[in-house]
Amino acid sequence: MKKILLIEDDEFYTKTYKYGFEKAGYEMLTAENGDEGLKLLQSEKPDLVLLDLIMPVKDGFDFLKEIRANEALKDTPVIVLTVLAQEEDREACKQCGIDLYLVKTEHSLAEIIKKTEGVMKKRGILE
Amino acid sequence: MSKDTKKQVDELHEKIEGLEIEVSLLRDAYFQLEKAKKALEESERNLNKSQEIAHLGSWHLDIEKNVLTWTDEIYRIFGLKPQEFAATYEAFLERVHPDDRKKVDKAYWTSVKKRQPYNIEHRIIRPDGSIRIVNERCDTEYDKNGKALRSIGNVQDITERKKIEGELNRYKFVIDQSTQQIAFADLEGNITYVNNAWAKDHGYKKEELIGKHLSIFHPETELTTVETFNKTLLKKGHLSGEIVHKRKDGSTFPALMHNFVLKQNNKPIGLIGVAVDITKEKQIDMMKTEFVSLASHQLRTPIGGIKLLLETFKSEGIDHLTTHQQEFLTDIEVSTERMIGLIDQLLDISRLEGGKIDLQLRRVDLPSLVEKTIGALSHLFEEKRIKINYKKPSETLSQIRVDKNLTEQVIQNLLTNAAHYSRKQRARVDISLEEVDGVVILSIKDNGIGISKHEQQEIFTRFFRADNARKVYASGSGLGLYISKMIVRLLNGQLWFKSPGEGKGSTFFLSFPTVASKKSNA
Repeated sequence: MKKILLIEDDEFYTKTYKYGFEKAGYEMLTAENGDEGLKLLQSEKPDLVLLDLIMPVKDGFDFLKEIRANEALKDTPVIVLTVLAQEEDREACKQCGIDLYLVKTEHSLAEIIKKTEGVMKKRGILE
Repeated sequence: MSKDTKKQVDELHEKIEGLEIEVSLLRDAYFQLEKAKKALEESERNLNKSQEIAHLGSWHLDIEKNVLTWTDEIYRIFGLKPQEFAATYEAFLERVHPDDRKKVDKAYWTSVKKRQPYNIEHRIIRPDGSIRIVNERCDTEYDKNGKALRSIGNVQDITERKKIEGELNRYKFVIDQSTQQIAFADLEGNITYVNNAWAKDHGYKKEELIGKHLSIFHPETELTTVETFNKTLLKKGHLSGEIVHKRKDGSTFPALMHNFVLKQNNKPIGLIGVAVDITKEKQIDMMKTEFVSLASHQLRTPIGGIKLLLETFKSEGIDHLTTHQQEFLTDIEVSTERMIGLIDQLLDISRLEGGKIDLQLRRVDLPSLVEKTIGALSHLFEEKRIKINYKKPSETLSQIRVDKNLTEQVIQNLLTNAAHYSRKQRARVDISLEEVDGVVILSIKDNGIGISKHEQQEIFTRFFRADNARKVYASGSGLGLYISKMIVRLLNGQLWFKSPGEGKGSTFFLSFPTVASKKSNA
């Protein structure tokens, strides 16, 4: 079973994404902020990270910068999953190298799962 | 005749001749005297006239004899007739205003004793009770022992001047005390006056600033803006705008300036600058924008959450729910969509009003954009059974230079409005494009509910909803056209409409300048 790390501070998003992805057959790890996320990333080595941007303690932008600066972690597949729809935010993330930028309100859960699988296929994690 | 008699006759003849010459001389002298007398009279008349025009009279005081002589003008100034005046120093003092008498008396005798110039302003009272203000001066002559002999002086009626001075002082006081910063400068920009606020707010003392150049009030980085501003100011005569100011200590603040060219007889003679420190306004503005932006984001999260939760809820099947429950579920979804739409609109407004939009300007083919949007809304038109007549332009139209997403948003707004406000039966929307005079115009004509004459001027205002619109589509926010208008203005286009009135349909027009021409129709 492929492992996905969800870094998200909102309890309802966490609950529903976990529900949806588990139903689709994935093992879900969850973290509430970038700090916890980094710890889990290093200890559990998930196949892909779903990353929220606005979080307390350490936000998504800082998390991205840190893993890209880390030799062992810089190739981790990351899909940003956020409410922020502005070009500036999209660009800032692209600069750090992400696999996909999704605006939460623009896609249904089913679509998000489908696009995630698309990225995993592209990265050779899934056939 | 005897020799003696002849001698006597000759002597007589001589004497007569002598007398004749003397008479003739006397006659000449007399005529000269008459001439001189006339010249003197004329000179006196001229003096009198010029004293009258200048409201200036002269006087002579014989100190020993206490005889005061006045010219006609002084009598006029004092409102007296020569017969009414005792012509002494005391009589003069009687006419001085009782509150000023002591100071006048003291000033005069001090000037005589100390041989100082006498120059004083005081009030006098005319017989009719009216008060005039006069300015008195005189010189005093002394004999060789230092005894004062006579004083020769003049009196000028300065009542009018004092009135004007009083008014001027009132204005000067108001300007000095104003909380707005006010400065006067010559045409080269050298300061001639600053009021208290200008000096204080810039951190200087008033005295330090006279003669300094206006450029000291701006940071280096702002100086080119200031130059351009001043050039335009001199051309137009007045100009307002935001400029950064610099204080004595180097700190800066944003200011709203209203500047004018001061003219006299239609010729520019100086500059007037009025500035208001708008630091607070800018802070409040920024706070407002940040608040709306933050609030919108904070709202989007839980609402997005509701949408997601509903989706997950439904994914486990809802057939076991009662029909009513299923309906209510759908209603929750619809209500949530509306909220999301409203928040998106508020976010748009906060970005547009705050000037925080990053425009992605590209060459766009308007007809293709229109066709795309019509396609995206086809389900809405089908649902409401509205016939769409899109007239493809007969020839290729020139391109426009706009932000594609924002323009699409405007077209979508206009088309959804046409759909929402369509008539119930045989509704149709006619869409066409044309190019006229370097401008591409899109027209969207519906045969729907129209806009009543008295509501037409408010159509583009924030939150406005026409009464008839509310009836057929209750959940509109009143923000769509407001946002569209702002976007169009940003993109240098025009958005307007025509409607014969309520129930008679409306046509909305959207135009942009083509890229070939440099004409902006803002």
